Amino acid sequence: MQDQEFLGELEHTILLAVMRRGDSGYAVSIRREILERVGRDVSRGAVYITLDRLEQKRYLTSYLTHPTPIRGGRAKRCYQITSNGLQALSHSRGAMLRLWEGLEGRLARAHEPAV
Amino acid sequence: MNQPSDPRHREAVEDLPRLVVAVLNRVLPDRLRDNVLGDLREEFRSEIVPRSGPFGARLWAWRQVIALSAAYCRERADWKGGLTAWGGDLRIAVRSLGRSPMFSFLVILTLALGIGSNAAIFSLVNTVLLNPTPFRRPERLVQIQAVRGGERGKISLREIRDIREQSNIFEGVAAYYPGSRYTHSSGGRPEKLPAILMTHNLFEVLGVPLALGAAWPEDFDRSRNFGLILSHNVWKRRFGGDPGVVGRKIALDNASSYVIYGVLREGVDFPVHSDLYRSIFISRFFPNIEDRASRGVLGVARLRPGITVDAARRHLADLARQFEQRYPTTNMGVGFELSPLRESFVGETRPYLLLLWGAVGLLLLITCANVANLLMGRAVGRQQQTVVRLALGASRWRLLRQVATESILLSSIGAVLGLLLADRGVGLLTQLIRFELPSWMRFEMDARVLLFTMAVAVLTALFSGVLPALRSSHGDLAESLKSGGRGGSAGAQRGRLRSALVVAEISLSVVLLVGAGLLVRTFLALTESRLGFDTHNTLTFQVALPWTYDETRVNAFQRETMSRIAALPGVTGVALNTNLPLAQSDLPHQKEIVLEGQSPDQRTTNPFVNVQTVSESYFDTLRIQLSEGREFQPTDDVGTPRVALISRRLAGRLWPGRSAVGRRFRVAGEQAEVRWLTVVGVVGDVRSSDLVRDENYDVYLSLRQVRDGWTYYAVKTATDPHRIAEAAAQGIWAVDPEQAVYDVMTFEERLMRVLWRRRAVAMLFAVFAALAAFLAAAGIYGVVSNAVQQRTREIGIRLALGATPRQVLRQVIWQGLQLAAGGIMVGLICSLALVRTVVSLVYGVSPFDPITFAGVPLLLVAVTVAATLHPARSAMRVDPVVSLRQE
Repeated sequence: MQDQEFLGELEHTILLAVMRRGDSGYAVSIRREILERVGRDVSRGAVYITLDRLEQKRYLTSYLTHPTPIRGGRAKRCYQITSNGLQALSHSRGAMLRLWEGLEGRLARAHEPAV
Repeated sequence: MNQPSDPRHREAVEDLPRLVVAVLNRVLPDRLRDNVLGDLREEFRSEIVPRSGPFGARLWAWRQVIALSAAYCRERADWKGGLTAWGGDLRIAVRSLGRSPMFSFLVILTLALGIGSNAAIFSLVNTVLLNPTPFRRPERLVQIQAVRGGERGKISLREIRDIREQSNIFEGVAAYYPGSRYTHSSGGRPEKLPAILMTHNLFEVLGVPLALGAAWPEDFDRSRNFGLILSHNVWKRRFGGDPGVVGRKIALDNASSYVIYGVLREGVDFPVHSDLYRSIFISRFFPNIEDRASRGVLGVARLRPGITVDAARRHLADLARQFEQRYPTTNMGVGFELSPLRESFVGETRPYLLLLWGAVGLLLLITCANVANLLMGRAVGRQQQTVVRLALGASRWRLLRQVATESILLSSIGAVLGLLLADRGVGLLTQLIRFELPSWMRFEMDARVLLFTMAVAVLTALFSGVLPALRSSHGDLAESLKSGGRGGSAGAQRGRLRSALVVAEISLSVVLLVGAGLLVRTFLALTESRLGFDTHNTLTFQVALPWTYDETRVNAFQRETMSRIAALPGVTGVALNTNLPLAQSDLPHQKEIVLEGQSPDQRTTNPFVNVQTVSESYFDTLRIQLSEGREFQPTDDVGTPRVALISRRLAGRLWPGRSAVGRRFRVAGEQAEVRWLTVVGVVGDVRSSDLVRDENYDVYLSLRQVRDGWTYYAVKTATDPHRIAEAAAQGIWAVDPEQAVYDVMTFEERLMRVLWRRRAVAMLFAVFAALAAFLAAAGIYGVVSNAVQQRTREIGIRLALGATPRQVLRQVIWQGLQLAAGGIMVGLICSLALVRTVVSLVYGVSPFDPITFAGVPLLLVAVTVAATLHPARSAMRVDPVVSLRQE
């Protein structure tokens, strides 16, 4: 896995949100998931572009649902994570954890009240 | 209009704005477009509208457009390396515009007004002249009318049949009669439904298949039958969209023998809003269906492929000549006129629309000149920066690109704001329209309008950006540093160029102001023109009795309602007329007449006449003067010889220099000898439908002798006529509660309705011209104040050498006036050359109207003085010591 590229921060976040939504995640629900869990309001355009890029990298696959009237007869594109996607996540997570090693103590101190 | 029931309003609340969808359709990549739009619509409807209301939801939608456009533009710029450099230029442009917000605001406002007015007028042009009709191959559809002595009129059913049988250039020929109404009572509250009468093949010719059922058999066109086709709307509204409706019998006007043959598709409508389509043969309208002179219908035909309108015209002219020889009694002097069907909808609106389009085109040129001027003024301040960059090795191309980016950015923002303005503007414009449009003609900002606006924005960027870009990429380092970026030969050259732009702006606004002046003066002349009758304080409305009412019942109804209304407080007179002046649609109601003792040859010289059946009180109530003979009397009744009154023009045309009283004539199409009419009086001329052409020949018959249940009431009042509207309607319902009272309006309101096109165009032209003058003033202001700034030192020296502040003031104003004089001269010459484009729309004033041609220059001189006053004052206040020390 030497040449595997690392996930960007937004890519990482979105892959995790897709996993959390199970098989039924689509752009709107993924955005909402991120907002509710992380409190971050990712721009709509960024979500679409990142989802598309992750699909091109084969970390995600997508399928279309039946069109519904409330969507003006348009289909919904739902996303699922692929095994490549899982590997990439695990790789990125591992890298982060290795970097964090031994630094947690500093974090704990940051939360102590200043004297 | 009642807002919640307006379908446009409802749609706007439930769905994403059309413009949003149109923009996103262009911005989003193909693969994701549907999903993204679906997501947006879902959120819009299920969350945003309930939470933020319609207005908030619209704002939200536009925010999403901006966010998505920005994201995808960035994405593309990142991917294609070439665009990143441009992205850098864009960033610089955004920053530099942000640094001078006042300048940016002025430029963007100018652009938004120029581009927005173009988008708004183009969306009208698009809807009225370009949008598709629901008919198959509409370019092959034509309307057929009869013509005599250059006047168009209706055609007879028999002639339509002749044309169908004797020519092979048409795929089909149908006839229709617009403007009928029927009351439908069952299945809800009684409702008067607009209807047309038609031959069996009308929709076949138009090329629109029915949604349900099929048209009635052909023999319904020649015998009394009750075939009916429903509009989609009425089928949904009054029949619950029941698919089993075909074959059902229903009652209209209390006659229960109508059979539903079919239902139209949604969005199909002919010629304008109609709910019912009935088989054409009605014995009252067509007493003799074989009579070629009984001309009461309009024809519509489909040309065979490859046949041009001109070829068809020639063919019909041949046919008309054959008919003249074969049927001289009915067809001598009668020709047939054929015109593309779209023209019959658009008709007189076309020249007005094209004129407006031209006007906003000029306005756009002024906008471009103004923005170019502003950009050049700004370039002056940057001159030093430019030459330093050039000296440090920046290529001219690089500098050019930077300036071009700035003007593209400005015009893009201007275009977006312009579109928003236009979206509002179209709503206001449609309120100016005062005639019925077919339901398929809908005003909306579609992809074509969007594309047009984008093209306009690009052109604007080009026109307004090129000059400043070229000028600012040139620079002489030594010259510029020497003169501190102000004076020098380059500065002088730039000054000349800016002055030339201002002169161009002024001359273009002269053209617009002259046009506006002529159109406004025409409108005023028409509102003040003599109509021949008294329009003051008169309420008018129509009551159409069902055809099932017999003569006695019609008579009793009219007499009873008239006396009830006359008894109302404040009412000074009541009269009836079947064909009230100013109440008619654009269709001519013209009939032919035959004088006693005329040969068929002589008959061809008779004009078409406008037949009106009136009550005895008519002339007295409307103050139409009797100039010879007598008016109608109660003794002119069914049992006595039939009498008529004619207008002075008709009397002069038929019996020039002799008395008309006692002469006899009959209205063609009515057969028997007893139909001869004796002229008993001559009355004053009345203008009835077209105020510009003076072509009415009026014949008046007495309602006592010719019963007609479809009449207009004219009620003269001592006070505001609107006040008695309710009481008058009560008077009608007291006699017969079944009858609807419609088309309620005062004569003054009718006059405004007849003049709506002229009023709308005059108003819009005036607005555009005012805008143009304002922009020109801004241009003058810019150039003059810039000149004052550059010449501060010179002014300081002059003041030090003893010039008075007053002299300085005069000099600065004089500079502005010189520019104005040049512009006015060029503009007047252009106006004189262009005046013939409006000459057909000018009436009552000369196209070289001295008031307009003298007033416009005076107005512009005043505007110029106003625009130069501020820079002139600041020149006066220059302190010689300070200005010299600054150097």
